Amino acid sequence: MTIDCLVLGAGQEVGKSCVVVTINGKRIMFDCGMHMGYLDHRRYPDFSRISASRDYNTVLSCVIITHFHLDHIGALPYFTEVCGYNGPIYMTFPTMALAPLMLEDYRKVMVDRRGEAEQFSNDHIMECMKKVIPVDLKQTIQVDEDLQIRAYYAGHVLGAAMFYAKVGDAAMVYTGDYNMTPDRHLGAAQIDRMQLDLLITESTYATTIRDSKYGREREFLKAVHNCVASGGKVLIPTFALGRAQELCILLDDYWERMNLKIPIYFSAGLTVQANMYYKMLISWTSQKVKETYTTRNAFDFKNVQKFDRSMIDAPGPCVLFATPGMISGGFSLEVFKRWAPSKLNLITLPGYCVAGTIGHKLMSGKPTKIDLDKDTQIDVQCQIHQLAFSPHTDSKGIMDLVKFLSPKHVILVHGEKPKMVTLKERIHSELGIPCHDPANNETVSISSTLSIKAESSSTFIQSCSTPNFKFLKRNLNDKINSKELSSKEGGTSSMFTRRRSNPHVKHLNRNLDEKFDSSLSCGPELEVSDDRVNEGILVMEKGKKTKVVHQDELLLLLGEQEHEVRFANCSPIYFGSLDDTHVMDCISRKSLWLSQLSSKLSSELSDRNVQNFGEYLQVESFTLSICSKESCPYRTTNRIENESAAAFYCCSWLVTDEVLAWQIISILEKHDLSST
Amino acid sequence: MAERDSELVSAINELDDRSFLSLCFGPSVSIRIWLLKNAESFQIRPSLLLTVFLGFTKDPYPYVRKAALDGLAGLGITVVEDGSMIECCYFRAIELLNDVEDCVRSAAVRVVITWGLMLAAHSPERKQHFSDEIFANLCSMTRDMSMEVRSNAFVAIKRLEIVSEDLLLQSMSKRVLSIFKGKKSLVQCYTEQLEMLALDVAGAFVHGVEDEFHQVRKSACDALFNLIILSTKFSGEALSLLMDVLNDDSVSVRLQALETLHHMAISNCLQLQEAHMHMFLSALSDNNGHVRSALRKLLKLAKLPDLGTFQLSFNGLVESLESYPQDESDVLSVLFHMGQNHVNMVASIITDVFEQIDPASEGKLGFDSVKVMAYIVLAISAPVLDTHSLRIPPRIFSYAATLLGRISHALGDIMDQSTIFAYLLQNSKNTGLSDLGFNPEGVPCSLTPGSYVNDILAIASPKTPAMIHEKQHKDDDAIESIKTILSKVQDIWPLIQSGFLHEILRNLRVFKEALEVFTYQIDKYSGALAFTLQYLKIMKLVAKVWNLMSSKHSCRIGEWESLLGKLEKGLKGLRSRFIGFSKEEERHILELMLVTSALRLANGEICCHLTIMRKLSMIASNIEHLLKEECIEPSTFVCEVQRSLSKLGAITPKASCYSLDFRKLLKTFTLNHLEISKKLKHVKAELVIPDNDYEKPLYFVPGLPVGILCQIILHNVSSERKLWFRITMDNTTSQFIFLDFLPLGGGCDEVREFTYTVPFYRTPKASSFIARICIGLECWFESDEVNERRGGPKRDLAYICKEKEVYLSMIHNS
Repeated sequence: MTIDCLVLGAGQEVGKSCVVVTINGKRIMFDCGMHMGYLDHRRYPDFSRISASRDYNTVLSCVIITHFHLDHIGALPYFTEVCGYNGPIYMTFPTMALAPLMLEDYRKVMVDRRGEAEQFSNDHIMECMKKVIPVDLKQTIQVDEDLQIRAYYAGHVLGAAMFYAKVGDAAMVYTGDYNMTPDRHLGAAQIDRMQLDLLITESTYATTIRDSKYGREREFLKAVHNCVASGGKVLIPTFALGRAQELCILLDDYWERMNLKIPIYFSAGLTVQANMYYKMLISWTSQKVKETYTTRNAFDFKNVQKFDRSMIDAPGPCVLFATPGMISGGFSLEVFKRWAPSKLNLITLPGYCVAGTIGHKLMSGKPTKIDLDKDTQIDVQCQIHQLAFSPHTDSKGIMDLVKFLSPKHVILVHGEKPKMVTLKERIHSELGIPCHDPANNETVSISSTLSIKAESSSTFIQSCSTPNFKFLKRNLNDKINSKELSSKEGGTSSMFTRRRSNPHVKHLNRNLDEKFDSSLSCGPELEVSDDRVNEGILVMEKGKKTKVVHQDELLLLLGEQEHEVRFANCSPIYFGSLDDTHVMDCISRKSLWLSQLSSKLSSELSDRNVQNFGEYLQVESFTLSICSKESCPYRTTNRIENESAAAFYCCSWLVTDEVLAWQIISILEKHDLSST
Repeated sequence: MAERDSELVSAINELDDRSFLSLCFGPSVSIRIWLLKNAESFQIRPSLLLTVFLGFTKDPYPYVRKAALDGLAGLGITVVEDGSMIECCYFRAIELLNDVEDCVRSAAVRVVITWGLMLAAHSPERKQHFSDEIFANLCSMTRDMSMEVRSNAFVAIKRLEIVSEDLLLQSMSKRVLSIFKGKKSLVQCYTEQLEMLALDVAGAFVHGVEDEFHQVRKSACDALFNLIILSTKFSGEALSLLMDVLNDDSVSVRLQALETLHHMAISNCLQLQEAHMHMFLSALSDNNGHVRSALRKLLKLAKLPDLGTFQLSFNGLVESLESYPQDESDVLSVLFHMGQNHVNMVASIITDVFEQIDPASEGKLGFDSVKVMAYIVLAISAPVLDTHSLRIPPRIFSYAATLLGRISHALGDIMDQSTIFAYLLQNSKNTGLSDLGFNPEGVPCSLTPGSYVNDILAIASPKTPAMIHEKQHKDDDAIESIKTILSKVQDIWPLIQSGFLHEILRNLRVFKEALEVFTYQIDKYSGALAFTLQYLKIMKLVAKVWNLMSSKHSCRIGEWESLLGKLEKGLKGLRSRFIGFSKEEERHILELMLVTSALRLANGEICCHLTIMRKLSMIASNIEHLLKEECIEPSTFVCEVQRSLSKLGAITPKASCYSLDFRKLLKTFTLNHLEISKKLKHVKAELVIPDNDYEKPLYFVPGLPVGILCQIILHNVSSERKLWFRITMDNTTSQFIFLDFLPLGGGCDEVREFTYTVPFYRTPKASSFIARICIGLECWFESDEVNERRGGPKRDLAYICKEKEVYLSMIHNS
C-alpha cells in the first residue's frame, strides 16, 4: 500500500498551501489557501488535478484547515461554493471564529478597493462556514469508519494546529505553520510521539537559525524604554491579530515590573475585537497566560488605554499601537506623519513589509525624507527600530520536530526551493530519514505500513501476557557485531512490536571501539531481553486465515518432527607422510587422525570440552569427521595433492556455535599437522 | 490497592522473595505495577530487586516500565559492585529515552543520570567520557515535547560534575560550532559522531531558558549552577544568557537566575561587562522586593571591571533607592561592600564629586539628598581595608557622623554603632571636628536650641577611647550618660510648654543617638538603658500631644487619637516590661499615666469618658497609696486632680465631667527629675523562626493547623507572668496562643531558652501567605474587666519582641 501526496500549492514556494494526501485509499485535503502574489488563475490551487470529473465530494474524505491565514484558507469559499465541494471541513474553534473575519476583510479589499470581479461573495463565505466542523486539541475525530484525525497545538497564531491522520496502520502528520519556541502570548508546538509513515512540514526558515528571543525582546524593550525615558513617543504599527498582543503583553509586563507610569495606547479600531477573541480563547494561549488568567486575564492590559485622535499632539511620552502594520495608510500613517519629524520619537517596523509601503521605504536604508505623494513630503528624523519577531519555527526547530517524531518519510512544503534542498539534505544525512521537496502539482508516493488481521493461539496470548525476560551475557571476544544481534532479534517480530528504528545510535561508543579500544564495551556486556512477543510465529497457509502461534506449537501444527539447521563445511587437511602407518587400513588411519586432531583441539581450546566418539569429534554442537566420500556437497576444494598424507574432514554445527566453528576451522587450516 | 485491608497488608509485609517473584511474573498487570512501586517496603534482596527492575524495563506496558525505572532510580543509592550490571542498567535507560510514552522517558532520564554517574564512578579512567555522553543524552532530552521530561533533564544535568568545555559551549549555541565541524584530532570520537553529538547538545540551555513553562526555565537556570565553574568561556556565555533571563515574566525564574549568578560570584567567575549592565541593573528597579534584594546580595560580591560599570551600578542603586525608600539600609550596605571591593574606583569617584557634595563649597547637590548619602557611604567604605583613605577627604567622615543612625542601621551586619562611630571619629581626626563646630573637649553647655551638637559629644565622644578598653568603664560610662540625659530631659519641660516642638524633637533625637552608642556594649545596665530609650520615646509623644493640644486648630482628631493611643501603649509597656522599679520611678510613671488620661478628657471626648474617669481615679488612688507609704507630699498636679475628683464625688454616668477643666488642670503639671535605679531589668524575648524564608516556606494543608517551630529566649520573665503568642495574617485577623513556658524549663527567670511549636489554626485557602508572629506579656496592673477576648488574653498585652514573618506555602500533591 502507498501514501500518495499530491502537492497543489506551497510546493517549493510560500503561498496557497494545499496538499492532497491519499492514505490507504482515503483522500484528505490539507489546507486550501490562496496565493497573494498572483491575480490570475494561479492564485488558487489547481483543483482539477484531484478529480478530472470535478466530483470532489466522492473523491475527498474531508478538508482540514490548519489556521486562519489566507494562504491556508483563502481558497476555501471558492472551493466549496464555486467548485461545489460539500463534504466535511475540519478546523479548530478559534480558526472557525476568526476565519470569516479574515475572508470577509480580504474580499472587501479585493472587490471594494481594487475593483476586481469578486471570486466569492459574503454569502459564499457564510455558506462555506456552515460546513465546518470544529475540533478541539487532542480530540480524536472519526471522520469515517477508517479515517481518524486529531489536532495538536502548533503555536504560530491563535488556533493554529497540526493535524494527525490515520487510516488503518498508516499514519501521518501535516504541520501547517508552527512555532517551536513559545512567545509571550502563544505556546510552543506540542505533539505526542507516534509511529508515523509520513510527516509533511513547513520549511519557511529552512536554513535560518534564530538566536534567543530574549535578545530580541531586550533590544525592543531597551529601545522603547530609552525613548520614553527621554520624553519621546513610540509608534508601533502592527497587524491587529497576533503581533500586537505579543508586544503588548511584553510591554505591559515590563511596565508592571519596572513601575513605569507612561501611558500605552491602543488606537480605537484596532484589536478591541481581537482582544475579545483572545480573552475568550484562553486555552489556546501560552502557559503563562493560562496560569495567571484565574487571577488576571493577561489580555486585560493594566497599563493600556484607548487612544483618542486629539492626543496625537499632546505633550509627553507615550507608546501607541496602530494599524496597519506596514504604514500603508490608515491611522498609523496619520500618526507617522506627525511624529516622524522629531528626533526624540521612535517608530518600530515589523519584520516584513511589502514593497511600496512606507514601512518598506524605512527599512531600506535610512531616508531623511519620504515622498508621500506629489505634494506631501515627510521629514523623517525619528529613530527606527526593526522588529525581528516571527511566528515560524527556525531550521533547528524543524529538525527537532522531525527528530522527535522520527517518521519514515518527510515531505517539505511552504519554503523557498534552494533552502529546502539544503534542509532536505540535512534531514537525510543527519537523521537518516528519506526526504522530499516536491514542486507544485507533483505527486510523491511512499510505501505505508500495511496491517494484516491475524488470529492468535491461546498459548501465544498466554505467553505474551507473562513476563519472560532473560539476561544475555555477551562474550566480548565474539566478533558478532551488535548490529547483527539486534537485527536477528528483530527479524521475526518487526510486524508486531512497535520497534523504533532510531537513526541516532544513542551510545556513541558502539562504533568507536572498532577502531580504538576493543576492550571498551560495544554496548553493555549484559543485555536484557524480553522475548515474549518474539516467540510468536506467523503462519500463512493458502485458503486459511493467517494465524500467530507460539514457537512451541509450530511443530505440532505442522505435524513435523523437530529439525535443526546445521551448517556444514568440508575441507582438506594434511597429516604429513605416514610411512610407518602406510600399511594401515583405511579405518585405523581415520581413527589415528581423529585422535591427533582431538589432542590438537584440546590443547588449543582449553576451555572447551572436546570429545572423541571414535567416528567423530564433538565440541558443543560442532561435529567433525573424516570424509571419505568421492564428492561431498560441502567441499570447498576438490583437489588433494597427496592422497596418503591428506584427507577431507567434514564438519557441521548449529548456528549458535558459529563463532566456535570458524575458530576451529581456522585452527585446522593454519596448522599443518605433518609438522608435528 | 490493598492498603485499606489491614489483614492483607500484614500478609503482604511477610512476602518473601519467592512469592514476590511469582506475583510479579503473574499475568495481572496492575498487581505487577503495584508490587514494583512498593517493592522497597518488602524485605527483598537488593540484588534480586535490581534484576527484577531491570527485567521489567522491557515490559510492553508503559506503566510497568515506568515503575521499573523508578525503582532503578531509587536503588541507585545502594552500592552495586558489578560493573556490567551498572552498564546494563545505564544502557537500558538510554534506550528508553526514546520511549513512546512521556512518563517512561521522564523516568528514564532519572535513571540515566543516577546510573550514569555510578558508571562514571565505577570506571574513573573513563569518567570524562561517560560524563560527556550523559550530558549529550540529557541535552537531547531538553527538546522533548513533554514538559516533565524537559524539566527532569535539566534537574539531571545539574548533577553532572564534569563536562568537556567544547560540549558546554555548544550547549549555549543553537548553531553547530566550528570546533565540531571537520575536526578529526579529538581522540575519543569520529568526526561524524562528534557532529551528531554537537547536534544533540546544540542550544540546550538557550532553549531551556526560553521554554514555555516556568518550571523548565527555572530548572534550566538551576542546571547551570555547577557547570559554570568548569570553564571560564562557558561561564561568560552563561552570564549573557542569565542576564536575559532577568527579563523573564516569572519571579521564581528571575530569582533562580540571580541565585545562579550569585553562585558564580562566589566561585569567582562572574565577569560583568558593560553590555550586561542595562539588563542587570534594571532588576534593581524590579517591582518585586525579593528580586531587588537578591540582586543587591549579588552586587555585594560582584567584581566590576571598570569605572564605567561601577558608576552605572552606583547610579542604578541610587535610582532604586529613590523609588524604593524601604530598601535604604540594604542599599547603603551594598554601597559599603562595593566600596570595599573597589577601593581605587571609589577614590577617583569621590575626588570627582566632592565639590558637589560638600556643603561648605555650596555644591549643587542638596546635602540631604539620597545621592549624597550614597556618596558618603561609598566614601567611608574605602579605608576600612587599607590606607587609601588619604585620597578621601576626611571631612566626609565628619559628615557621615551626622548620618550615624542610618549608617549603623545599614551596617548592622558588619559592625555595631559604636565601632562605626569610633571609626568615623578616627578618620575625621585629620581635619578635626572643630571645622564644623565640633568641640571634643567641650563642657556640656546649657541646653538651648542650636547647641545640641555639643551635647552629643559631651556625652559620647570623650568616652570613645574608653569604649575600646575595659568593659567596667563602659558600664560606668553608660550609667553616667543615662543619668546625664535623664537630667536633661527634665530641662525639656519648659520647651514643651512653650511649644518649641522642633527643638524638642531634635534634642530628644540627639539623646537617643547618644545612648544607642552603648546598645551593643553593656549588659550590666542594659535594663536601665532600655528603660531610658523607651522613656525618651514617651517624652517625644508627650511633646507631640501637648503641642497638638495647644495648637489653635483642633481638626486633627485622628492624629490626636493615634498619638494618645501610642502614648498609652508606650506607658503600659514601660510599666510592665521592666522589673525592679523603685517607688519613685513607679510614681513617676503613674503620674505620666495620669497625665495621659487627663489629656484624653481634656479634648472633651464624650464616648467613653466614664471608663477614662474610672481609670483616672484608679491611678490617682494608686499614687495616693504610694505616697502614703513613702510619706511624701504629693505634687501640685496630683493634688489638683485629687481635689477635683473629690469635688465630683462618685463617678456615675450622670456625673458630668464637663464641670472639670482638664486643660487648666494639666497646666499645673511639671516634669520631675527621674532618678533611675541601676537595678532595672528589662523583660524581653528573642524569637527566631529557624530555617524559614521565602524559598523555604513551611508547608500547610488549608483548614488544618500548622505547627510553627520557634526558638525563644526569654529574659527576666518571672514564672508567674503570662505570655501569649499573637499571630496575625493580612493585618486583619489575629490568633492568640497561650505560651506555657514553665513546663519547658530551659533556665531560670533571668534567661530561659527553649524551642516551642506554636500551632496556627485556621489556615486559609491560599497558595502561600505570610504570618506575623510575636510574643506578648499580659499586663499585671490592668483590671480584669478591661478586655474580654474569647480564649485569648484577659488583659492587655505588652509585646516584648520584634514581630517575625513566617512564610507558609500550601502543600502540593506532587
